[in-house]
Amino acid sequence: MIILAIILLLSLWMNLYADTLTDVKARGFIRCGIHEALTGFSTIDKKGERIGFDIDFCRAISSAIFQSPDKVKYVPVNIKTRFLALSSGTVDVLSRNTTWSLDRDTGLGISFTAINFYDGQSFLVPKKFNIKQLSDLNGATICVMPGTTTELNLADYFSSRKIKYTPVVVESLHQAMVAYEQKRCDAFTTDRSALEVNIDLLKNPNDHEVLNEIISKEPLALAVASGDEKWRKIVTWVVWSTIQAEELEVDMRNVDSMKLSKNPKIMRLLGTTPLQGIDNLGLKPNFIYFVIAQVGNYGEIFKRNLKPLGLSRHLNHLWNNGGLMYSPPIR
Amino acid sequence: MFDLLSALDFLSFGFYPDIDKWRLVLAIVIIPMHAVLTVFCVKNRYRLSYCLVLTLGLQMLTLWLSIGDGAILRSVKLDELSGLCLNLLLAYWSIPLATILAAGICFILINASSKSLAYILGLFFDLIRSLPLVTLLFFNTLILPMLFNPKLIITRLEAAWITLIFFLCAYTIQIFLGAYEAISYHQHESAKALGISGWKKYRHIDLPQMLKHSLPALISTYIGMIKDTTLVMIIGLADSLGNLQLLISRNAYKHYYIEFFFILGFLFWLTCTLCGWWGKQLERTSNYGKT
Amino acid sequence: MINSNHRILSIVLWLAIFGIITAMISNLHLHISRQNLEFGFDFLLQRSGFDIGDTWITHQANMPYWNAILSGLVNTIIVAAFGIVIATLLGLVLAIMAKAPFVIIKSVSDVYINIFRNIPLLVQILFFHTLLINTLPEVNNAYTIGASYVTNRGIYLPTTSPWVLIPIITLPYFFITRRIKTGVFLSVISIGILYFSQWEHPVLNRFNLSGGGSFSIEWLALVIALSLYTASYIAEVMRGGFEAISYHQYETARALNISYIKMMRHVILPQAKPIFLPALLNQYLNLTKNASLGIAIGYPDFFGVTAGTILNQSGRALEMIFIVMVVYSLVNYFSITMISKISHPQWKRHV
Repeated sequence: MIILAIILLLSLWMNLYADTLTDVKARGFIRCGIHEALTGFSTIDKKGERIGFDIDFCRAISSAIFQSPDKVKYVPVNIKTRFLALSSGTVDVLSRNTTWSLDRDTGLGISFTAINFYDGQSFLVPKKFNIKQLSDLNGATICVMPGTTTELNLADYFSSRKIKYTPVVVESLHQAMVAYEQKRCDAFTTDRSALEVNIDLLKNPNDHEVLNEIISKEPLALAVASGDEKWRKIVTWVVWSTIQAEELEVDMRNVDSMKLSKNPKIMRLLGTTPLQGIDNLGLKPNFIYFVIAQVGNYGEIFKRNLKPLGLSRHLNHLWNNGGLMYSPPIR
Repeated sequence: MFDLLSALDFLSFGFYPDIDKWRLVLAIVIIPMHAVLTVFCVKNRYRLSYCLVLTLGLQMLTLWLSIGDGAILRSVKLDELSGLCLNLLLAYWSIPLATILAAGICFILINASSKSLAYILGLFFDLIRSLPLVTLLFFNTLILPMLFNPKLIITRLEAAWITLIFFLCAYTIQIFLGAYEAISYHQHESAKALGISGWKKYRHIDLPQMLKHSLPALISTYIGMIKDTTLVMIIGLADSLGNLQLLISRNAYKHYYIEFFFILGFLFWLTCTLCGWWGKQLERTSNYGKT
Repeated sequence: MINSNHRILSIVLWLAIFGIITAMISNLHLHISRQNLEFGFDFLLQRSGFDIGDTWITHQANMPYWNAILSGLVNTIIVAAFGIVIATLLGLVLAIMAKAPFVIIKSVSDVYINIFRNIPLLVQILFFHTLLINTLPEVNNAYTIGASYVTNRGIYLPTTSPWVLIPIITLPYFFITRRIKTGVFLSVISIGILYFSQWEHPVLNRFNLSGGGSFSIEWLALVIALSLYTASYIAEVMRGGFEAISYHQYETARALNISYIKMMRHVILPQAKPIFLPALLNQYLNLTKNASLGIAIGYPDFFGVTAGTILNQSGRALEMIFIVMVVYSLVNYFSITMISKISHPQWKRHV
């Protein structure tokens, strides 16, 4: 019994943090925190496979580390548990349309990596209200999810303009859609992309509209736990590499032929001319090749998951196409 | 017309892969078998240790069947159990373990020579009893991974499981201690006179009587635990209630929300009633000394 | 021999407890320092930044965090108060029905208790929430009862100055203590006050009913589910109390030709009350704790506000956990002390 106690104690004491990459490699898979169910971003297809925009970034990280996109264990986290799941170490990376803000970056024990979707907060309203601008919502009851930046933006926007409203807290997206459809609230506010893909869940999608007015900046980014610089950089550069690949027009189909390309930028991207820095990340020199070959570049990920739902790229175009997607050079 | 069967399938199994569903069904079938075996053991007055071994063995078997990925079984892709099976299995995995743990802790509380030790343990379980289960579940999923070695990966399912065990244990200890008080002091004095003490006395004199006296209270606590497994929905595990909510948010099923709630309610009612009935049987068979 | 064995056991356990606690604290400390988190309660004074819609104490974005916690706490207390009153009345009726001499009445009570005890509370809460939202009318064709409206957003009532309520609240006291004359006098006065006082009526504007007071649909669903569920437990507790009364009492009452209701009211209840009171208070405590399940339907109770909103907005997980633990422990401690005082009154010790 004494021996048992000592073993128990030792196992508790040996709490030296190895870096996340070593842990992940030893474990053989990454644990990725995802949305429970958000069409286009994280859903389950008919075969029971998880698919979606956020899922694909988890797969990209897995490709970069294991040269295989399937070494991921998905952990669906809800709106209340997502940050603590990350900071307590239940997940290695959070890919769950999460807004990057200063307070969150500094106060929650988490660090944001790279933005993979530029979004803004908007409102879902019935068409019959004929709402031209947001001040028409004076006196309305508005559904909002607790603990989100949208909750704060809503309070800011309406109180600074002296517009009255009643917030109704709903715990999840599908509860919100039910509450909205049953007229528990007059409007539902969250990220515009989530509203646009979810409008189809309503019985008569044509009777409802997403307002064009955007009240906030919602840069959605992947996040990791603070304190491991190397891991943060790995996630950041995996996201950026997909953007860079789109810029260089390297995609899933032509990536093998591009390996023979003499363009120095592409040679660096695909690891034909090895970069010193990638060694320091602890990844294979050609990790981007695997990411592109197995998951695709940013444009492909967007096209595969979000285009069929009618989302257009707007701000998420590449910088040379009028958007904001811009990767620091890979050199 | 909606597809009732697929809806029921989703309620009970959730996202568990189709090819592996037989494993869950098998694991669920083991539960009533175990209940029957327990009554059989009590009836034939088998030793407590045999019951213990049987219980632990069956627990391991169901664990392995439902979430194990060994050489024989292929690993389950969506690692988290889901649906009504999650509720039933969580209850099944926590009830016997919590009872065994409570019996062990009661031994310490009764026999430990230092009063302060008993005090600290008592304080710990008092704290658990004073908090609502949902707060414990919520905080443990967040805090447990921080308290232990980061190499020890604690998933939400495990955190919920640990919480349920300790929560049930806290209440069971109280029941056991009450039952211990009910043992007449003659028994303690006779034991002393015969020179039986410590573990031997606890094992052969106290525990059997405690178990018998506390059966009705234990069964109602177990029924409470079966119902309380629905609370894991709040920490984001997809149990039957979570799946039900997802289901009735879909257009095809929206209008049938009353029916689905009734179905789920009936399933829980049935489980709890069966558990109560099992308790009655157990009480009847354990009533030795009386005819 | 025996003693030394026990001492070893104690020492090992002490070591284990000490070791586990220090290891946990050191792990936690490492974790916090690694992620640059801070620990302290000064953030409670900072601006919260979010509104809470459904509160008895207003909370708005420019108010500090502690105000949000307070309004959550008040919400919990009010849910518990309403739940306790309704559950006790319903439980009492069910318990009296259970001992009734008619089989039909008896079986109604039995079936009720059996069903509501064996279905998880959370299922009931979500069921009533979904049911109310789906079946009650939308806000623009609300049921109207006088100046009150019933919609699927809640019940809207006309309000007046809260001071008016004081004679009404005190009324039952006078009737219970049989000061009928004072009671009648008071009711005449209160009717007069109610008639002449200023009323604020809810009015339908473009989106919503505004003005007056309201109970939200989440509040309603939570109170209904909590009281129906707890009533089944309370009925069991009270029935146990009734059964503890010697059957001679029942038979004597019957011999004296006292009606069933009167017998219960004057003979059985006064005797059964001290027997079931501790268990009854325990059920009240359970109901208060169960109010935390309001988080599932988005009701901003104490737990919902602290764990659901503040924890995520401020990131102060450990502090919030600490506050929740302390508050619930205090509630628990005081109720347990009260219960044990009632179940072991001073006079009993001298007997």
